[in-house]
Amino acid sequence: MLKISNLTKLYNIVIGVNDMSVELPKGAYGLLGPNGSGKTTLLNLITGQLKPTVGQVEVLGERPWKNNVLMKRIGFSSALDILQTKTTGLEWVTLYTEMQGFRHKVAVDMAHKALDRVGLSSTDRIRGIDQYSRGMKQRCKIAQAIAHEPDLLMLDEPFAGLDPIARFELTKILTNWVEEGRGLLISSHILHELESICDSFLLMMTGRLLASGTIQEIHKLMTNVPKKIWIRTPHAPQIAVTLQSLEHIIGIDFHEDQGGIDVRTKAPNDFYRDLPSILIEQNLRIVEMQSDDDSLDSVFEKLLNLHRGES
Amino acid sequence: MISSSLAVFRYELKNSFGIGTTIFWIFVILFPTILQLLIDKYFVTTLDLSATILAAMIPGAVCLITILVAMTPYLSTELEGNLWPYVATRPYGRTAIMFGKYLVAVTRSLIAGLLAIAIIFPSTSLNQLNIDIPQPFQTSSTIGSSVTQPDQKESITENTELSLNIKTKELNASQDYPLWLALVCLVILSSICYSALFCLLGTIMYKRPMIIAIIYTLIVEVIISFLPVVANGLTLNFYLRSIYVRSMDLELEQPVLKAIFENPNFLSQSSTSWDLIFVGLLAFSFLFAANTLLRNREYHVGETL
Repeated sequence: MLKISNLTKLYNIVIGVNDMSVELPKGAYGLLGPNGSGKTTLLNLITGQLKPTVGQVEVLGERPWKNNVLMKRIGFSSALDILQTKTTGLEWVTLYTEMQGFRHKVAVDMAHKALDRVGLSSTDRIRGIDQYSRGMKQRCKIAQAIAHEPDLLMLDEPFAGLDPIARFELTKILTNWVEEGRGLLISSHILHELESICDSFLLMMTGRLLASGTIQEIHKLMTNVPKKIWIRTPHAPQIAVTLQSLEHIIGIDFHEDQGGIDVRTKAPNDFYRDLPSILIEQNLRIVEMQSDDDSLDSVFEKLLNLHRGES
Repeated sequence: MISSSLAVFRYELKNSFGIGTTIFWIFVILFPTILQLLIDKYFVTTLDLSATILAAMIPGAVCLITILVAMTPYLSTELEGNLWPYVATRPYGRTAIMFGKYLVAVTRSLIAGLLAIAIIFPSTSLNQLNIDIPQPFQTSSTIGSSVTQPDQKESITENTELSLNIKTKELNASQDYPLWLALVCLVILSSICYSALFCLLGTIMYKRPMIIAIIYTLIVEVIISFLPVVANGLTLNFYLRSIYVRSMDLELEQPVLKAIFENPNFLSQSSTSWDLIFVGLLAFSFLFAANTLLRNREYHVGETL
């Protein structure tokens, strides 16, 4: 489906994508990375909007830059909001379907079908896009990407700005798409958004491909990264003394009011396993415990350090 | 590619008639008539002076302003509206958006220019000025009321069709054309050529297209085109005015106009056919260059990398 070889994209002196090589067979892939990690640049290279500075991209066996044949086989939705258009959703989707080479009447039918698929109601689709909510615009963008039934669908941050209901519905649409056996490449900076849709993931940071793998492999990476755990307890000194003897503990900081501690561990699973027995043995009590969310930032940081050979 | 361009043309033409844009457009179309009515009130015009003023007002202002608004920001609106990714991921999408919007600009300019001509002739003194030549947008009763006594109206009405035919034949024979026809030709040529020029400017300078186009027009198409130097041969204005003046074969009465149009440096010395070919080549090369640039350039939408 996708073959990337030594791909580099420079914007003058800024690196968008840095020496990336990867080969992906047909399937559903999540492209994960924090903002500014190069996901959009990579998608723009894959969709032929940008030309590689070094290396090459092959999508469905063809190079995308100035490739009119390939454009009929891919669908793309940008992360950017649609601005400055008073046209209706139906007209907008129809235009881009016509630009895929379909006659007007056929394109109108295909646009209706795509808008049905993304759940934009018949009354909403004949309203101006400038009156749409973010979620409706997102549906419209996806409709134009799927209307011509592409072999490979690429979506850049499709969940951005969506409310939980819209997220759920979009997830359903994309899950159906994948179940139909079509290719999907979807970018996000939040892992759990893509977990139920994609089989495999690519992790990017600072333009580099740091890792790739299945959801289990990503979770394994996440459990082994250092984590900070916030604990409120009336027995802070005793707990701190006991914990500091554990091998996986990196550091302990007391809260300013002495009513708790922040524990940093390089093996959170071990910590969660050991803590209850310590509390029971010493008859200690904790009132509240929280940890950082499972965002990918710490994974990315760790992977980047590994990539640089720092740890 | 043609069907995509036509799809863009249909879509853009429909969406170009917003309330604000249409009001502005109508004002631009009516502007020459209003100006001519004011001229009628305070001055006595001759054919050569009217022809010059009309050329400046209709193709030079109505068409140019229409094209400036419709064509120049064609790329920047796609980029600023975050619509470029959808264009660029269509087969021949870049070319289709350019040609589609080019056709819209030409169409709007043609409609504006022709409407301006249709309104200005029957409503102003140009009616009387051109009584000896056929007027396409004028009824026989208007001709009668403007220059004849009531008892003469009937004979003119009866003979209008005949006189038009005779006059057309005479004009064809002498190879010069009435003012309205020369203006129509000029509107057509200006619409095609200036749309192509502004298309190229909008492609090269897509970040400040309107400002660049206005500055370019003032410097190149106004100032340089009227300088008696070889460089004026590189402007569209030079060829268009040569075709216009030559096609009418005007008898110049005004000393200022004589000084301008009888100076060989102000008009092309080639034949009209060569001028037409040259203007056509210029328009084609503008579009070709714009398309080549558009297809080979990378455009960054938004700030994300």
